[in-house]
Amino acid sequence: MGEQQKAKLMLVDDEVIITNQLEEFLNSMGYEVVAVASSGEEAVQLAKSHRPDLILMDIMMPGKDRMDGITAAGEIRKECDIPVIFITAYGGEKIIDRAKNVDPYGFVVKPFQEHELKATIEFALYRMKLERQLRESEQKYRFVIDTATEAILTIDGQSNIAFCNQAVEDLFGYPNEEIAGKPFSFIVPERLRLDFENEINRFILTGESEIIGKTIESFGWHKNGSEFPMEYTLTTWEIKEDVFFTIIARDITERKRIEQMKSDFVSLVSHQLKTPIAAVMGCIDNMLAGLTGDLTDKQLEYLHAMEEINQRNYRIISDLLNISRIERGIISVEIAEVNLGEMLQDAAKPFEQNAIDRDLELIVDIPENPIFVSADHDKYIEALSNIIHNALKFTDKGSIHISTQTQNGSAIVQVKDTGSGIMKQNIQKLFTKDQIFTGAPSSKGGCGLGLYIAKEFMKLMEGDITVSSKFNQGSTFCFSLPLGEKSKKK
Amino acid sequence: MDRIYDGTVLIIEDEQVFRLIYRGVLENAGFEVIEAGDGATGWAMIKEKKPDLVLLDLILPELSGYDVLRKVREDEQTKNIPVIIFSVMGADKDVQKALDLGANFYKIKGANSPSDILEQIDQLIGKSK
Repeated sequence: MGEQQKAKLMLVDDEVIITNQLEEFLNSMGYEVVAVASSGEEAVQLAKSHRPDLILMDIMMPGKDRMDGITAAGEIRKECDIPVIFITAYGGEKIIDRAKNVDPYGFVVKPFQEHELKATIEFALYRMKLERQLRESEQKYRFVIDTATEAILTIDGQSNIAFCNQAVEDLFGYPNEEIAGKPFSFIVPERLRLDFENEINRFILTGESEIIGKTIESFGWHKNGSEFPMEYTLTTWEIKEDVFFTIIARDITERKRIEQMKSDFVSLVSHQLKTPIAAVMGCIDNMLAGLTGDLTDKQLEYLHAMEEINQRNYRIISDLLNISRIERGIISVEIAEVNLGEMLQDAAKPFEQNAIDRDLELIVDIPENPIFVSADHDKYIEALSNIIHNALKFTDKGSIHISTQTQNGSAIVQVKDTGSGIMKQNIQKLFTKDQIFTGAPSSKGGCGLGLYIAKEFMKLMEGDITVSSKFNQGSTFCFSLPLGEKSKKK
Repeated sequence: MDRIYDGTVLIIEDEQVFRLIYRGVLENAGFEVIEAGDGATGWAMIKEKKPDLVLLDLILPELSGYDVLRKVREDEQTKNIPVIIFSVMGADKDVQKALDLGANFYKIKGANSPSDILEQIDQLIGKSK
């Protein structure tokens, strides 16, 4: 022990001669004796009032209160957490067994050499210092974990909850002692438990998992029986051979509510905007159909111009509505066997006039033998028409060529244009809805959501859409879809 | 356009301009057209006039299009009258709900030309001449 602060010791022995001798010796060694007790009960009281660092305790003290050194040491450990070194003349097995239970920092049998006692005291003080450091470091982490607003749980290799922080009680309603030892799937609603358990077991058995290290949106289950939207991250670690998991979970009710509001708002506004556009379109259509009498060429030209603007507006609003539906996850597909060639013709037809007007070739190669695919007819047409619309928009001369082939159980449709192409750095963002937020509005009109919608629709049909492009040399979009039963057999 | 139909069509629609548009198409095709601007009036007219076909909007004051459709299908005297829904709403669940309630067709306003509705009318009541 250094000079800067003397270790404070307390002596407990019913023999005054012994305590006097010891005190003298300890003082000479540089320790400070802050209290001396002559019985078990007195020892407990003085420990409480003087708070020594370490106690040297005799075991046999046949005094008035009958409390021996071991009982006193146990009491002091419990109430003040002060460690004890036993000094005794009786080193019998029974005594040693009892003494073990109060976790002494040393056991010295009388008679002893002074250097033996000194070494025992030094070891005890050293151990105390290490333990204090460990405790402080643990308290620091414990503080961080307990003040976290996220619920943190660890799970042992038997899939039981081994540790929880304070926020677990706030989030799930269970105090630590109630949830510890329960299976971890306890925190999710019953309907999700099996999947959750299987995923963990799969990881334990195979080391593979879809969810380790990822942030996942799911639902939590509160003690009061209510479900709430929850997001969690699952990580894993090992100590020796044992696998542990940590779940960090948070309540995302508020975030979900705001997302829903945003989505509802888009949906509401879109419907409000669609009504007048549909009305103007109906008026134009009736005039073009001749219901209001014959039209001059000039009037026709004006009406066609109005029609085109109106259709563009309608398309933008439809895109916004589709996005809002995709985001809310309320879009569904009706898969049927459909004839690919017929669909290509249907999708390309509305663009024929535009291609002729702009002196572009719009070529559709219909397969000689009909190809059948499993698809949602309307959504496939919409995805295709988004791509064809785009191809026309970005092509000033040359052609848009649509062709088909079959490959490994899939039908591939290629839409190849000779347009401006896509810059390499933009390809990655092409199928995301980030397009809309990246600032500069496209000079070609539209808000760039068509590709995102096309991709999402294709994924819903278990297909996909990819692109390859060279800047200034045109782009090729590839649609893949599973072949229908009728085409598989051939 | 040739006047190839006869019969009466009831349009239940709160937006005057849509009544104008569909009246134009239907009268041109030979129909007699009657109109209601809200769901309750529309339902009263269906019971009174027994039209040959109903064009029904979904978002309506007084009684929604879904409610009118339900009443039509529940009433012995009106349950066989063909009903075409035309709405600006086009989500899958809106369409499915109307079809489940017994609508014969569902048209999304703005997605088709108004005169396209004659194709569905053909399928429902056929040409008269």
